[in-house]
Amino acid sequence: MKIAVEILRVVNVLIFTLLLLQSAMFAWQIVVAWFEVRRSRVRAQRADPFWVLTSDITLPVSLLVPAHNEQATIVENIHSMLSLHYPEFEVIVINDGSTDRTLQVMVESLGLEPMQRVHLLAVQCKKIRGLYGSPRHPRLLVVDKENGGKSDALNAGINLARYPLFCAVDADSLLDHDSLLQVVRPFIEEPDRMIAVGGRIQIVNGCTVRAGQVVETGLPRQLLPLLQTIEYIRSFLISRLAWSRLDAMLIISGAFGVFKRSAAVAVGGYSHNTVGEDMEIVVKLHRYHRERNLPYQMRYVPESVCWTEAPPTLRLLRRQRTRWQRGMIETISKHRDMIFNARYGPSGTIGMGYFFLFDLVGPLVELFGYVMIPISFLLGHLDTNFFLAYLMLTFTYGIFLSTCSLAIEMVVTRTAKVSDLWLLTLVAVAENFGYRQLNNIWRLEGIVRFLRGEKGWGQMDRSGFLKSTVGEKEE
Amino acid sequence: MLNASSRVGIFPIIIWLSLALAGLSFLTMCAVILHRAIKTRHDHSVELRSRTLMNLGLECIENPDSLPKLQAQLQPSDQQLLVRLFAELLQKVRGDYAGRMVDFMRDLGLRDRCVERLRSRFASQRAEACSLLGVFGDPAVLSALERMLDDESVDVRIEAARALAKHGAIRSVDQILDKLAIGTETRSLSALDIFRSLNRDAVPELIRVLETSNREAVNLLAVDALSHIGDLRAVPAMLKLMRAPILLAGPAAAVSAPAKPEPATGDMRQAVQDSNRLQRRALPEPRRRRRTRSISTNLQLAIVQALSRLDDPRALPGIIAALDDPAAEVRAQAALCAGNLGSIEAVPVLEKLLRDENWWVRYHAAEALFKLGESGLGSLWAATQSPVARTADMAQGLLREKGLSA
Repeated sequence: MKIAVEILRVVNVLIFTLLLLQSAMFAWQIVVAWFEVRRSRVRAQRADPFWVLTSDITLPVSLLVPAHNEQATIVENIHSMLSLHYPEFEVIVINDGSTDRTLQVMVESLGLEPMQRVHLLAVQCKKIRGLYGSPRHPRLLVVDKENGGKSDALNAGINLARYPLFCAVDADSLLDHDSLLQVVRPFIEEPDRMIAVGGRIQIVNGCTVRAGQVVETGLPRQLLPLLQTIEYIRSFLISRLAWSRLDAMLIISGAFGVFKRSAAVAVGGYSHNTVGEDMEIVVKLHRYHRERNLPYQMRYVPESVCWTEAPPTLRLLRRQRTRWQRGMIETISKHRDMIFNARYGPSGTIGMGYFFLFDLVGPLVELFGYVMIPISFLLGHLDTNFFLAYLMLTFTYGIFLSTCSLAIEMVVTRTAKVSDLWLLTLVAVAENFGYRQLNNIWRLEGIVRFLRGEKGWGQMDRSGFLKSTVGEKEE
Repeated sequence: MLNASSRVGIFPIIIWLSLALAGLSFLTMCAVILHRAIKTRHDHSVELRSRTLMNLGLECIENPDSLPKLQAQLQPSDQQLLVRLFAELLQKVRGDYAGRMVDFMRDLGLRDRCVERLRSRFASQRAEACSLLGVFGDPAVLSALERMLDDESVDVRIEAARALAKHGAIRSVDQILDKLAIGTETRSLSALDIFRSLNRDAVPELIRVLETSNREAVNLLAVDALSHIGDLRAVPAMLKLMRAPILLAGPAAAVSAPAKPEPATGDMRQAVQDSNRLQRRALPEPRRRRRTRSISTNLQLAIVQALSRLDDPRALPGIIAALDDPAAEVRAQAALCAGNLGSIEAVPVLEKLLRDENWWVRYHAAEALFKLGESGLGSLWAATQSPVARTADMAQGLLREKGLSA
């Protein structure tokens, strides 16, 4: 019995230590993100989009848009992408063996005709069934290929792209008019070293969309997307800002990222058989350049926005989160030798180490703590101070982090309404009670699914970007 | 262990610290919200004021007599607003109207305001002031901008140089290269913009830089600038640098308008290297090229691009020589340029390049042959029957892409 109690105490201390470490890490992230956001603002103010648009030093970009069963949104999104403000770009839509009418809808609505484009099979992809172009839209190329998953579709796009940069964009996402100009800025500032740049993903639910453009921003009216709004700020904006500054950024969202084509080809393009292809290619790029001692840079540009629809129901959100977790574990497991490995610089020591400790082990320990620590306290094996300190670190400190993230976000987004800010503050507090724990359960489920060898993406139901307010339709 | 920790006070510290931080963050959010509420009202009034000032300003530009009326209405905070409004508008207008707008800004004292801002302690404000002063060409402004070339921030120096270049007021190329620390502090492509806007007076100095400098970043900049200025005096220097032959008695080298540069189809250097890497596995024996390299591949590429842009027949031997370069990326770029120059003399070499081991070289050779009219097209059709699969594939693929069934 004595031994069991002692083990219990050691486990509790370990849980507490990890929680303390995590809290310190998050606080450090907030500080680093604050400096990065200030630097980024200065850069963004200096890079006048009009000047960039009219000068001929921008690099041409191929937009790669993989589409699988996207008949509801695809045409509107193509129109939106074709109207981007950028001197020279092409839009390559890859129909990845859709089983709905995605291809037919595009052919009918955009006046597509079969065409040919000679291309190099630089990276592996499944058979291309046909290419289509439109006399009405000379910048558009539609690729019809056998189903092979998102990575395969992006690889087909890389093979067909003829410009030095490519931008991977989800078919269900919307870009602001000047998003491409903003996101390409680091490639102009550091032309030799820059290999990948990520843009910011924001939730479109609650915004007003007209003609494929967000014309008025607003907060989601449903609870789940509202909670995700805070999560996107805390987890994505802040952490990517921090990691970008520390050269340890391991994720460039699959919804919006620009890559040097040659760098992506050098690492073999996107990997197949993973649902975390966006993280995997970034890790591969770090590995490739570090192993060869090649100078390189990756950056995150918070001013460049891509709008995406947040899952409005628990069922869809759970599916998305378990998939993200699986994707992350697949990458960590494939590149496990990079974890805490100084050979890979900050990407190994800070980036991979962080993901391993706080995104893989952390949620498990946190969930374990929710059960173990109250039980130990009730059984009288923990003193009150320990128990209170645990509660404070878990909840009160969580509120501090969420609100700090929100305050930093206000520096980036300067158009939020006062009423929205009150609501977001409330949500920043509320997300620590229930939503965070639910997320950890889904992460655990993701780990279990990975261990069971589950593959594939699952279905993401799209309501389509409505003419007025987006994503408010309940299933 | 737990009791020990508790005794030394770690847990109470954590408890009180967490509570204090949560309270602090709550207060911060209240302050942020209050600030936002005030700012929203302020922004709204600024927007209204901007509209009024813009209307009054445009009226003054149309009718300069109404300037006193505007000056009478100006409030102290309006000057900054006017600078921002008209600097933004000025980028979008050209010709006489732009000149009148600059006069209006000067009359309102906006120029002096910008000169004052050059003394700001914030580098971003000094850089913005330099950029804005680029619209005024007065000697006083130009000398102020010249002084800013010694600023501690490279961003400010870049903006000052850009503003000076806009007025053709750059005294020495060497000075700018030195002040901008090209290749070390300045790696941004924005430096290209400055050198491209130099006038023809700078050509001899740029050529001298090209002939004497051994810094690659500087040479790349000089080559790019010379090709954009479009002065054919640069051609011999470039050919000399790449050790290519030159046609001494070539066709009349009339100073023609520079050809519109072909957009780069792919990051040539990297893409070709990647392709080479893949191909080498299948083709272990490398081809032998007749020339040895003396300059970097980057510079070689830049020179081939520049020669293509300059559109000078004297450059043809250089381009043809580059078609046989040891570096695949240079061969690919040279093929692209041969097509742009319309040089039928290149057809036999391009035909050979259709058999090249590198995909990008074959693609650009095929594209060039297609552009070269009848003789090139004939070569492409012939290549469709080639026993070498990659040659036939490329020729057939390109003809299909161009709408000619092969």
